[in-house]
Amino acid sequence: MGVPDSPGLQRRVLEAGLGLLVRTDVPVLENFLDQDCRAVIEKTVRWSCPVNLPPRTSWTKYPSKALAKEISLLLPCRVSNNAKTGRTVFGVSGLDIHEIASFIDSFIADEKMTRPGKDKSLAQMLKFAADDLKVWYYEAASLQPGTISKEISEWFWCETAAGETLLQLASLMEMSNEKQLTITGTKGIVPRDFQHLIARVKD
Amino acid sequence: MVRLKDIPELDAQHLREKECPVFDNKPFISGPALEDRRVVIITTAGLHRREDKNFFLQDTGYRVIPGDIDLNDIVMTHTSVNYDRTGFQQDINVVFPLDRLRELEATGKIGSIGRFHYSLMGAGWLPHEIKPTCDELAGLLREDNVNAVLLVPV
Repeated sequence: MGVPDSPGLQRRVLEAGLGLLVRTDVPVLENFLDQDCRAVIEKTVRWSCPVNLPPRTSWTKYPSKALAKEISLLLPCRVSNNAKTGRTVFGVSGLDIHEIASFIDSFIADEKMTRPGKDKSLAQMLKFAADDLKVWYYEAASLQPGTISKEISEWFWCETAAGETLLQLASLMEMSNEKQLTITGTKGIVPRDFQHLIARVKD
Repeated sequence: MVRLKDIPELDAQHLREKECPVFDNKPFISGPALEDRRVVIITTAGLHRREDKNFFLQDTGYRVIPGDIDLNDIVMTHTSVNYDRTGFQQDINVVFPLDRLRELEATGKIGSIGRFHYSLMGAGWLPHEIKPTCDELAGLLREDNVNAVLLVPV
Protein backbone atom coordinates (compact mmCIF):
# COMPACT_ATOMS: atom_id res chain seq x y z
CA MET A 1 0.00 0.00 0.00
CA GLY A 2 1.88 3.01 -1.26
CA VAL A 3 5.64 3.18 -0.85
CA PRO A 4 7.74 2.48 2.28
CA ASP A 5 8.48 5.51 4.45
CA SER A 6 6.09 7.72 2.50
CA PRO A 7 3.36 8.45 5.04
CA GLY A 8 1.72 11.17 2.95
CA LEU A 9 1.28 8.88 -0.02
CA GLN A 10 0.14 5.99 2.21
CA ARG A 11 -2.45 8.25 3.80
CA ARG A 12 -3.81 9.30 0.39
CA VAL A 13 -4.05 5.65 -0.69
CA LEU A 14 -5.88 4.80 2.51
CA GLU A 15 -8.28 7.73 2.28
CA ALA A 16 -9.03 6.89 -1.35
CA GLY A 17 -9.74 3.28 -0.40
CA LEU A 18 -11.92 4.12 2.57
CA GLY A 19 -13.71 6.71 0.42
CA LEU A 20 -15.06 3.87 -1.68
CA LEU A 21 -17.05 2.66 1.33
CA VAL A 22 -19.55 5.47 1.02
CA ARG A 23 -20.05 5.16 -2.72
CA THR A 24 -23.49 3.99 -3.76
CA ASP A 25 -22.76 3.26 -7.44
CA VAL A 26 -21.48 -0.20 -6.56
CA PRO A 27 -19.60 -2.30 -7.37
CA VAL A 28 -16.70 0.07 -7.92
CA LEU A 29 -13.22 -0.53 -9.23
CA GLU A 30 -11.15 2.63 -9.23
CA ASN A 31 -7.65 3.41 -10.37
CA PHE A 32 -5.57 5.29 -7.83
CA LEU A 33 -4.25 8.26 -9.78
CA ASP A 34 -1.57 10.09 -7.87
CA GLN A 35 1.27 11.87 -9.64
CA ASP A 36 3.42 11.72 -6.51
CA CYS A 37 3.18 7.94 -6.42
CA ARG A 38 5.08 7.45 -9.68
CA ALA A 39 7.47 10.24 -8.74
CA VAL A 40 8.36 8.58 -5.42
CA ILE A 41 8.99 5.26 -7.16
CA GLU A 42 11.02 6.76 -9.98
CA LYS A 43 13.25 8.88 -7.78
CA THR A 44 14.61 5.74 -6.10
CA VAL A 45 18.30 5.41 -6.97
CA ARG A 46 19.91 2.18 -8.12
CA TRP A 47 20.92 -0.20 -5.37
CA SER A 48 24.28 -1.90 -4.97
CA CYS A 49 25.67 -4.20 -2.28
CA PRO A 50 27.12 -2.19 0.62
CA VAL A 51 30.22 -4.43 0.90
CA ASN A 52 32.29 -6.56 -1.46
CA LEU A 53 31.49 -10.22 -0.88
CA PRO A 54 33.78 -13.15 -1.79
CA PRO A 55 33.31 -14.01 -5.49
CA ARG A 56 31.65 -17.24 -6.59
CA THR A 57 35.01 -18.59 -7.78
CA SER A 58 36.17 -18.72 -4.16
CA TRP A 59 33.33 -21.02 -3.04
CA THR A 60 33.71 -24.73 -2.53
CA LYS A 61 30.95 -27.19 -3.44
CA TYR A 62 29.25 -26.53 -0.09
CA PRO A 63 29.64 -22.77 0.35
CA SER A 64 29.51 -22.85 4.17
CA LYS A 65 32.81 -21.01 4.62
CA ALA A 66 31.76 -18.37 2.12
CA LEU A 67 28.44 -18.08 3.96
CA ALA A 68 30.21 -17.51 7.28
CA LYS A 69 32.46 -14.93 5.63
CA GLU A 70 29.48 -13.12 4.11
CA ILE A 71 27.73 -13.00 7.47
CA SER A 72 30.77 -11.47 9.14
CA LEU A 73 31.08 -8.87 6.36
CA LEU A 74 27.40 -7.94 6.36
CA LEU A 75 26.96 -7.91 10.13
CA PRO A 76 27.91 -4.21 10.59
CA CYS A 77 25.53 -3.24 7.77
CA ARG A 78 22.65 -5.03 9.41
CA VAL A 79 23.41 -3.54 12.82
CA SER A 80 23.51 -0.06 11.29
CA ASN A 81 20.33 -0.59 9.29
CA ASN A 82 18.42 -1.88 12.31
CA ALA A 83 19.64 1.08 14.36
CA LYS A 84 18.45 3.40 11.58
CA THR A 85 15.00 1.82 11.18
CA GLY A 86 14.54 0.91 14.84
CA ARG A 87 13.06 -2.46 13.99
CA THR A 88 13.77 -5.96 12.75
CA VAL A 89 11.51 -8.70 11.43
CA PHE A 90 14.20 -11.34 11.88
CA GLY A 91 13.61 -14.11 14.42
CA VAL A 92 10.76 -16.39 13.31
CA SER A 93 13.00 -19.46 13.66
CA GLY A 94 14.11 -18.62 17.19
CA LEU A 95 17.74 -19.09 16.12
CA ASP A 96 20.54 -16.56 15.76
CA ILE A 97 22.19 -16.11 12.38
CA HIS A 98 25.16 -18.37 13.18
CA GLU A 99 22.87 -21.15 14.41
CA ILE A 100 20.83 -20.81 11.22
CA ALA A 101 23.91 -21.11 8.99
CA SER A 102 25.12 -24.11 10.97
CA PHE A 103 21.69 -25.81 10.98
CA ILE A 104 21.12 -25.48 7.23
CA ASP A 105 24.70 -26.40 6.45
CA SER A 106 24.56 -29.57 8.53
CA PHE A 107 21.33 -30.61 6.77
CA ILE A 108 22.94 -30.09 3.36
CA ALA A 109 26.12 -31.90 4.36
CA ASP A 110 23.97 -34.73 5.75
CA GLU A 111 25.78 -34.52 9.05
CA LYS A 112 24.33 -35.87 12.25
CA MET A 113 22.81 -32.73 13.67
CA THR A 114 21.17 -31.60 16.83
CA ARG A 115 17.87 -30.31 15.54
CA PRO A 116 16.69 -27.07 17.15
CA GLY A 117 13.03 -26.29 17.79
CA LYS A 118 11.77 -29.59 19.16
CA ASP A 119 8.16 -28.41 19.02
CA LYS A 120 8.35 -27.97 15.23
CA SER A 121 8.84 -30.43 12.39
CA LEU A 122 12.12 -30.52 10.48
CA ALA A 123 10.38 -28.98 7.44
CA GLN A 124 9.05 -26.14 9.58
CA MET A 125 12.44 -25.44 11.14
CA LEU A 126 14.19 -25.45 7.77
CA LYS A 127 11.54 -23.15 6.28
CA PHE A 128 11.70 -20.65 9.17
CA ALA A 129 15.51 -20.78 9.20
CA ALA A 130 15.57 -20.12 5.43
CA ASP A 131 13.12 -17.23 5.81
CA ASP A 132 15.23 -15.74 8.60
CA LEU A 133 18.42 -16.08 6.54
CA LYS A 134 16.78 -14.12 3.70
CA VAL A 135 15.43 -11.47 6.08
CA TRP A 136 18.85 -11.06 7.70
CA TYR A 137 20.54 -10.48 4.33
CA TYR A 138 17.81 -8.14 3.11
CA GLU A 139 18.04 -6.10 6.30
CA ALA A 140 21.81 -5.80 5.86
CA ALA A 141 21.46 -4.94 2.18
CA SER A 142 18.79 -2.32 2.89
CA LEU A 143 21.37 -0.10 4.58
CA GLN A 144 22.32 1.13 1.13
CA PRO A 145 20.07 3.96 -0.09
CA GLY A 146 17.89 3.21 -3.07
CA THR A 147 16.64 -0.19 -2.01
CA ILE A 148 15.00 -1.84 -5.01
CA SER A 149 13.52 -5.23 -4.29
CA LYS A 150 14.21 -6.69 -7.73
CA GLU A 151 17.89 -5.83 -7.53
CA ILE A 152 18.27 -7.14 -3.99
CA SER A 153 16.53 -10.39 -4.95
CA GLU A 154 18.82 -10.88 -7.95
CA TRP A 155 21.84 -10.12 -5.80
CA PHE A 156 20.75 -12.56 -3.10
CA TRP A 157 19.90 -15.49 -5.39
CA CYS A 158 22.58 -15.03 -8.04
CA GLU A 159 25.57 -13.60 -6.20
CA THR A 160 25.58 -14.66 -2.55
CA ALA A 161 26.67 -17.88 -0.87
CA ALA A 162 23.50 -17.62 1.21
CA GLY A 163 21.37 -17.81 -1.95
CA GLU A 164 23.44 -20.71 -3.21
CA THR A 165 23.01 -22.47 0.14
CA LEU A 166 19.22 -22.13 -0.05
CA LEU A 167 19.20 -23.40 -3.63
CA GLN A 168 21.06 -26.49 -2.40
CA LEU A 169 18.68 -26.81 0.53
CA ALA A 170 15.60 -26.63 -1.73
CA SER A 171 17.11 -29.16 -4.10
CA LEU A 172 17.70 -31.67 -1.30
CA MET A 173 14.30 -31.11 0.31
CA GLU A 174 12.55 -31.66 -3.02
CA MET A 175 14.17 -35.10 -3.28
CA SER A 176 13.19 -36.14 0.24
CA ASN A 177 10.85 -39.06 0.89
CA GLU A 178 9.13 -37.04 3.59
CA LYS A 179 6.07 -35.29 2.13
CA GLN A 180 6.28 -32.11 4.22
CA LEU A 181 9.95 -31.66 3.32
CA THR A 182 9.19 -32.19 -0.37
CA ILE A 183 6.31 -29.67 -0.42
CA THR A 184 8.29 -27.08 1.52
CA GLY A 185 11.39 -27.58 -0.61
CA THR A 186 9.41 -27.29 -3.83
CA LYS A 187 7.34 -24.21 -2.96
CA GLY A 188 8.58 -22.67 0.24
CA ILE A 189 12.26 -21.82 -0.14
CA VAL A 190 13.05 -20.43 -3.60
CA PRO A 191 10.76 -17.92 -5.38
CA ARG A 192 9.20 -18.89 -8.71
CA ASP A 193 11.43 -16.45 -10.58
CA PHE A 194 14.61 -18.12 -9.35
CA GLN A 195 13.56 -21.78 -9.41
CA HIS A 196 15.54 -22.31 -12.62
CA LEU A 197 18.74 -21.78 -10.62
CA ILE A 198 18.14 -25.01 -8.70
CA ALA A 199 19.21 -26.93 -11.79
CA ARG A 200 22.61 -25.26 -11.46
CA VAL A 201 23.29 -26.69 -7.99
CA LYS A 202 22.18 -30.16 -9.08
CA ASP A 203 25.01 -30.31 -11.63
CA MET B 1 -3.12 -3.13 -5.86
CA VAL B 2 -0.10 -3.53 -8.06
CA ARG B 3 -0.57 -3.79 -11.83
CA LEU B 4 0.27 -7.05 -13.57
CA LYS B 5 2.74 -5.30 -15.83
CA ASP B 6 4.72 -4.18 -12.78
CA ILE B 7 5.44 -7.66 -11.40
CA PRO B 8 7.64 -10.48 -12.76
CA GLU B 9 6.10 -12.25 -15.75
CA LEU B 10 5.88 -15.66 -14.04
CA ASP B 11 3.98 -14.13 -11.13
CA ALA B 12 1.71 -12.20 -13.49
CA GLN B 13 0.97 -15.38 -15.44
CA HIS B 14 0.17 -17.21 -12.21
CA LEU B 15 -2.36 -14.51 -11.28
CA ARG B 16 -3.91 -14.43 -14.77
CA GLU B 17 -4.63 -18.15 -14.43
CA LYS B 18 -6.60 -17.65 -11.19
CA GLU B 19 -10.29 -18.39 -11.40
CA CYS B 20 -12.38 -15.23 -11.13
CA PRO B 21 -16.00 -16.17 -10.57
CA VAL B 22 -18.82 -13.99 -11.84
CA PHE B 23 -21.46 -13.26 -9.22
CA ASP B 24 -25.16 -13.08 -9.99
CA ASN B 25 -25.88 -10.31 -7.53
CA LYS B 26 -24.27 -7.23 -6.04
CA PRO B 27 -24.15 -7.87 -2.28
CA PHE B 28 -23.19 -4.33 -1.36
CA ILE B 29 -24.86 -2.28 1.33
CA SER B 30 -24.56 1.34 2.27
CA GLY B 31 -23.35 2.39 5.71
CA PRO B 32 -22.69 5.44 7.84
CA ALA B 33 -20.31 8.23 6.94
CA LEU B 34 -16.60 7.55 7.44
CA GLU B 35 -16.54 9.81 10.51
CA ASP B 36 -18.89 7.33 12.17
CA ARG B 37 -17.14 4.17 11.15
CA ARG B 38 -15.30 1.81 13.47
CA VAL B 39 -12.49 0.35 11.38
CA VAL B 40 -10.20 -2.67 11.68
CA ILE B 41 -7.57 -4.16 9.41
CA ILE B 42 -7.75 -7.70 8.13
CA THR B 43 -4.50 -8.67 6.46
CA THR B 44 -3.67 -11.82 4.51
CA ALA B 45 0.07 -11.17 4.74
CA GLY B 46 0.68 -13.85 7.38
CA LEU B 47 1.51 -11.27 10.04
CA HIS B 48 1.44 -11.96 13.76
CA ARG B 49 2.95 -11.01 17.07
CA ARG B 50 6.42 -12.39 17.59
CA GLU B 51 5.22 -14.72 20.37
CA ASP B 52 2.31 -16.14 18.34
CA LYS B 53 2.41 -19.41 16.46
CA ASN B 54 4.00 -19.11 13.02
CA PHE B 55 1.90 -19.72 9.91
CA PHE B 56 2.93 -22.80 7.93
CA LEU B 57 1.65 -24.44 4.75
CA GLN B 58 -2.18 -24.66 4.60
CA ASP B 59 -2.97 -22.83 7.80
CA THR B 60 -6.58 -21.62 7.72
CA GLY B 61 -6.42 -20.09 11.18
CA TYR B 62 -6.17 -16.45 12.11
CA ARG B 63 -4.03 -14.47 14.51
CA VAL B 64 -5.26 -11.59 16.66
CA ILE B 65 -3.34 -8.32 16.59
CA PRO B 66 -4.30 -5.98 19.45
CA GLY B 67 -5.23 -2.45 18.42
CA ASP B 68 -2.61 -0.94 20.71
CA ILE B 69 0.23 -3.13 19.46
CA ASP B 70 3.72 -1.76 18.97
CA LEU B 71 4.27 -2.39 15.25
CA ASN B 72 7.85 -3.46 15.97
CA ASP B 73 6.42 -6.60 17.59
CA ILE B 74 4.96 -7.88 14.32
CA VAL B 75 6.68 -10.49 12.14
CA MET B 76 5.63 -12.28 8.95
CA THR B 77 5.53 -16.04 8.33
CA HIS B 78 3.50 -16.15 5.14
CA THR B 79 4.33 -19.49 3.57
CA SER B 80 4.67 -18.18 0.01
CA VAL B 81 8.07 -17.00 -1.14
CA ASN B 82 6.67 -15.55 -4.36
CA TYR B 83 6.01 -12.02 -3.34
CA ASP B 84 8.18 -9.10 -2.47
CA ARG B 85 8.81 -8.59 1.26
CA THR B 86 11.28 -5.76 1.09
CA GLY B 87 8.58 -3.12 1.48
CA PHE B 88 7.29 -4.81 4.63
CA GLN B 89 10.81 -5.03 6.01
CA GLN B 90 11.35 -1.32 5.46
CA ASP B 91 7.96 -0.07 6.62
CA ILE B 92 5.18 -2.28 7.93
CA ASN B 93 2.57 0.30 6.91
CA VAL B 94 2.74 -0.89 3.30
CA VAL B 95 0.98 -4.10 4.36
CA PHE B 96 -0.50 -3.16 7.73
CA PRO B 97 -1.24 0.58 7.70
CA LEU B 98 -2.05 0.96 11.39
CA ASP B 99 -0.01 4.15 11.83
CA ARG B 100 -1.97 5.76 9.01
CA LEU B 101 -5.26 4.53 10.45
CA ARG B 102 -4.34 6.01 13.84
CA GLU B 103 -3.67 9.34 12.12
CA LEU B 104 -7.08 9.26 10.45
CA GLU B 105 -8.68 8.54 13.81
CA ALA B 106 -6.76 11.38 15.49
CA THR B 107 -7.96 13.84 12.85
CA GLY B 108 -11.53 12.61 13.03
CA LYS B 109 -11.65 11.31 9.46
CA ILE B 110 -12.78 7.93 10.79
CA GLY B 111 -14.77 7.37 13.95
CA SER B 112 -12.60 4.87 15.80
CA ILE B 113 -10.34 1.85 15.48
CA GLY B 114 -11.49 -1.57 16.66
CA ARG B 115 -9.96 -3.31 19.66
CA PHE B 116 -8.37 -6.01 17.55
CA HIS B 117 -7.14 -6.53 14.01
CA TYR B 118 -6.89 -9.94 12.38
CA SER B 119 -4.34 -11.68 10.22
CA LEU B 120 -4.62 -14.67 7.92
CA MET B 121 -2.15 -16.36 5.64
CA GLY B 122 -3.59 -15.96 2.19
CA ALA B 123 -2.20 -18.96 0.36
CA GLY B 124 -2.77 -22.64 -0.10
CA TRP B 125 -6.50 -22.83 0.56
CA LEU B 126 -9.71 -22.60 -1.45
CA PRO B 127 -12.63 -20.29 -0.58
CA HIS B 128 -14.79 -23.02 0.96
CA GLU B 129 -11.88 -24.10 3.19
CA ILE B 130 -11.47 -20.63 4.69
CA LYS B 131 -15.19 -19.90 5.06
CA PRO B 132 -15.52 -21.19 8.67
CA THR B 133 -12.68 -18.88 9.71
CA CYS B 134 -14.35 -15.94 7.96
CA ASP B 135 -17.67 -16.70 9.67
CA GLU B 136 -15.93 -16.72 13.04
CA LEU B 137 -14.17 -13.45 12.29
CA ALA B 138 -17.45 -11.85 11.22
CA GLY B 139 -18.86 -12.70 14.66
CA LEU B 140 -15.87 -11.15 16.41
CA LEU B 141 -16.17 -7.97 14.35
CA ARG B 142 -19.86 -7.71 15.16
CA GLU B 143 -19.14 -8.06 18.90
CA ASP B 144 -16.73 -5.11 18.64
CA ASN B 145 -19.29 -3.00 16.71
CA VAL B 146 -16.99 -2.80 13.71
CA ASN B 147 -18.67 -1.45 10.59
CA ALA B 148 -15.73 -1.02 8.22
CA VAL B 149 -12.95 -3.46 7.39
CA LEU B 150 -9.80 -2.62 5.55
CA LEU B 151 -8.90 -5.80 3.69
CA VAL B 152 -5.19 -5.66 2.87
CA PRO B 153 -3.92 -8.49 0.68
CA VAL B 154 -0.33 -9.06 -0.42
